[in-house]
Amino acid sequence: MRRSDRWVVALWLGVLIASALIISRTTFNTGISAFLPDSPLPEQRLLVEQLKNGMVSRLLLLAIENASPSELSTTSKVLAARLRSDPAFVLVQNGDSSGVAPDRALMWRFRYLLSDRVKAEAFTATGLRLALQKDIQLLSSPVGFLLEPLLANDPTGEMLHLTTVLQREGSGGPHHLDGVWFSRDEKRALMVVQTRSPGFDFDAQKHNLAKIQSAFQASSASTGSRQIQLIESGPAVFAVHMRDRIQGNVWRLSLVATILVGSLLMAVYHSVRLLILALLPVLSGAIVGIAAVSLSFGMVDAVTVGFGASLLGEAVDYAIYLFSQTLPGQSPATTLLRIWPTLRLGVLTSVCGFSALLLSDFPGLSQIGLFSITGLFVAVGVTRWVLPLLMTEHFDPLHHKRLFLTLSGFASQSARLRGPLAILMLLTIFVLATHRGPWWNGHLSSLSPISEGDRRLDQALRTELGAPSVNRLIALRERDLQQVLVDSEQAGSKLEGLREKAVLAGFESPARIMPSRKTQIARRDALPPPEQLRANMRAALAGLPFRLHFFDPFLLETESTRTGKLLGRRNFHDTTLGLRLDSLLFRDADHWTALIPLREVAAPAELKDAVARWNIPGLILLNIKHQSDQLYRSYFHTILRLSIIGLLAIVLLLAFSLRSPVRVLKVLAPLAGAVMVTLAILLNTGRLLTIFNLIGLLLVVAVGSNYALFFEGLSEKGEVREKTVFSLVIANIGTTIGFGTLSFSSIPVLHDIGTTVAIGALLSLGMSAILMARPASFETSSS
Amino acid sequence: MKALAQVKSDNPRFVQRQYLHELTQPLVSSGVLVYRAPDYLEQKTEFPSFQRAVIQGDHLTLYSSAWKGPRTLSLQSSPGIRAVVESLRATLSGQLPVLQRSFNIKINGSSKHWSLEFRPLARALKKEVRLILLRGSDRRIDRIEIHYSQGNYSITLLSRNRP
Repeated sequence: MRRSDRWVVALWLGVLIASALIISRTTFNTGISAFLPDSPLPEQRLLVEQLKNGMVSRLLLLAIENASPSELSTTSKVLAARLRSDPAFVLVQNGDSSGVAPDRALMWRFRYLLSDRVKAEAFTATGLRLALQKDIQLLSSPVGFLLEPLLANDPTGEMLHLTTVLQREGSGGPHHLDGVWFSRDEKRALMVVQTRSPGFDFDAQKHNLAKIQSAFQASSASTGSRQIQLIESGPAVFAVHMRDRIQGNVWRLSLVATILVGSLLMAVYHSVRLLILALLPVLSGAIVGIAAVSLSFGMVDAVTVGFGASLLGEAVDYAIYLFSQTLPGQSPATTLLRIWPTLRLGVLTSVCGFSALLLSDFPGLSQIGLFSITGLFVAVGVTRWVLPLLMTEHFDPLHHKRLFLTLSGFASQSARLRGPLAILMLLTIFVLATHRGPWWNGHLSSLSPISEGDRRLDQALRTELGAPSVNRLIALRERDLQQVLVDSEQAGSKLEGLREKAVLAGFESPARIMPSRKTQIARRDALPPPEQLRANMRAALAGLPFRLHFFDPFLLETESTRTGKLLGRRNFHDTTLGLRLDSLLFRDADHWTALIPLREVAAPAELKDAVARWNIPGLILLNIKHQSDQLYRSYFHTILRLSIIGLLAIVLLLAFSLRSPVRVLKVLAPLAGAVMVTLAILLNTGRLLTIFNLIGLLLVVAVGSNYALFFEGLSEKGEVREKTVFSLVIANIGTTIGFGTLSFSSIPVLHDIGTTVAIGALLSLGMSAILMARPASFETSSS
Repeated sequence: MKALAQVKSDNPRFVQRQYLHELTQPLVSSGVLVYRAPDYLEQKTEFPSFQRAVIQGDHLTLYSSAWKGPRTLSLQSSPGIRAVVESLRATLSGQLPVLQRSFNIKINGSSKHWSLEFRPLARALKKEVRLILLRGSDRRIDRIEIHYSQGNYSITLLSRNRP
């Protein structure tokens, strides 16, 4: 080894050690939120934030099924009792009365501050008399005896009013059976659990889910039913399952890809030493790649590591080219000098492709881009400068002579397939031109790794629980909590007007659950002082059949409200109202956000016009579905633009290197063909294409260009030609294995890119052979 | 009791007297009760003011001028009302045995003049409704007596214009 060579090896080892050190301090993020892009608009950011961290993320939906209704309700009651005794769960609701007792207590205590009907005129003699007359009317109805126990304290019926107003609007709550919540078909007992730990705290949530499972096992044992089952849903469940899946996926994929590529190399080279040497560039690339991501992002997504499987498939090509194209008696350095220009160009085109990922808005995709680019550069560098130093043993091609000839023969004969290829291309154009319906999935959910089945189950449970997802909402932002509540009240009174005009069916508001101090004080001031109220009551009672002192408790309680404290956030401890308040009113950094979900908007245009005229600062009207689809469209356009730029960069690079329009066209023709056929195949699998498929298509060009370039340069005859064809086939199999393993992943980003590139890479090689192999050389090589 | 089940619909007039501890005199109301097999019940009050309570399936909807719009509540969430509704439905459809799990039921008298006593078994329910007493002759219910907590009770007399 020469002195300069030693320096090369030292540098390589130094970089590897430094990278390993960086990796040892790296946090690996197993969440999926990195694949929800950073969003440019405030309303979209709000949406993404809510998706990631909202209070809603602490909710678990549970369903117990597969047993008789009485077994289900018993299990539900026992399970709820067990969970309630565990401090990890803030709130456990299964419909039984113990779940709502704290809510009723809160509403009862603060009824005169909570009720929007509390106004001075309601407590005059006339106002009270009107209320008492209504009481008499209701007493004679079948619901009368429900009101009767409350009457002495609450003759104006504020409690009943509040239960109606604060009850989940519309549906009147979930279906009841045996005192607990059930689905309407009475096949599932339902429960809602709020965890203390946030939804994105995966470890805590995993622990919570395990606790629920063991509590369920213990609870269901008493019923003796064996089939009884617990279903869990909700953001935290998705997140935990997702993490397990990502971790499982990442390790399995990398392992499978390594074993497959390793077997391929062993089958070809029959040498452990060569196998290790071939894997050196890839491993170096992966290690430095991860370190680079860690340095520039501060953490590494597990999914990025999963993408390593594809890097393995692609970067192993470089070693294969080197080993397979080395002629007997020649040194690897000589081979490198010969193939270096093509290799270099191939790497650069691949890098152009991955640059589109690097520049995208998705932090996750940028990571994959940076990881791949670094990995490829390092892998090719190690192949170019380090491998030749370590290769003392020459690759002996002897026992593959026959295979070489066959492959080379195929390559030459492949020109005969130009006819069938033309037919295939016509067919493809026909398929693409006549394809009905959209090509692309236009919904944000297509990026979500939550399976369609899970999503549908979640939606079904939510609907049964009377909490259907809302489509439109108003968001208000202010620095001050009281100001945001005042704004909410202002918006609420305007919305009330719109509701009367049937523009919308209803709305929820945090200010209904916790009115602003200003409103609470106004209501408190509306209550008359005790002597005044007593006189009013006496006047109101004249001629009515009530006993004279029956309403004394009412007089006492109004007075205690009048002189008592206002309702604050601390009072909501342990209540479902508090839970709803937290989902509608939350704080980020230095702002408070209030959400007002709108129900069944019948006249969206009218609503939009009205909202625009309100002139409440910091108000945004959000159409969630529309926003998220628009969000998706903007990502799509960004990726499309970047893909086109990446493609142009590849073409420019080729033009600059090949210096001939004809040669550039020759290289691009098979790639264009491969992209079109891949597209046709993907469309016919019945799934709509996603952003990730689009990226995959760009990578088909970036990766496939390597094969086209080698074929394009394939003018020599004899052994070099045979070896080149051989190396291309092996390299192609390696790439297909690498990306192909990704296609077995259940994570959309890995699955979609993997499938697309695996199909496209195979097609690129085939088409390059068919379009560029020269029949003439076949005669010379076989002579 | 099976004879009652043959009645598929009924719409007697009613007079209801409620004896409540907060009142100095009973509360009197009157109107029409409507029953249609299997589970439709309606109380249409005409005096002293118009008010309708419709009970169908698991839901009770009250249309009252005391409130802005109709209000619906689930019987499952109000056990007291449910107890009254179930005892009426079971009697009208001749399916008393079904209720034996939740009530102590006593039958007295002859098929000509009979009376039925329902006493809830569940402790929580006992606090709301102590006793439901139905009296009838032949296939008809003539009198509904409901005893609530705190000594409150109501007596409803039913009458029909015999054809």
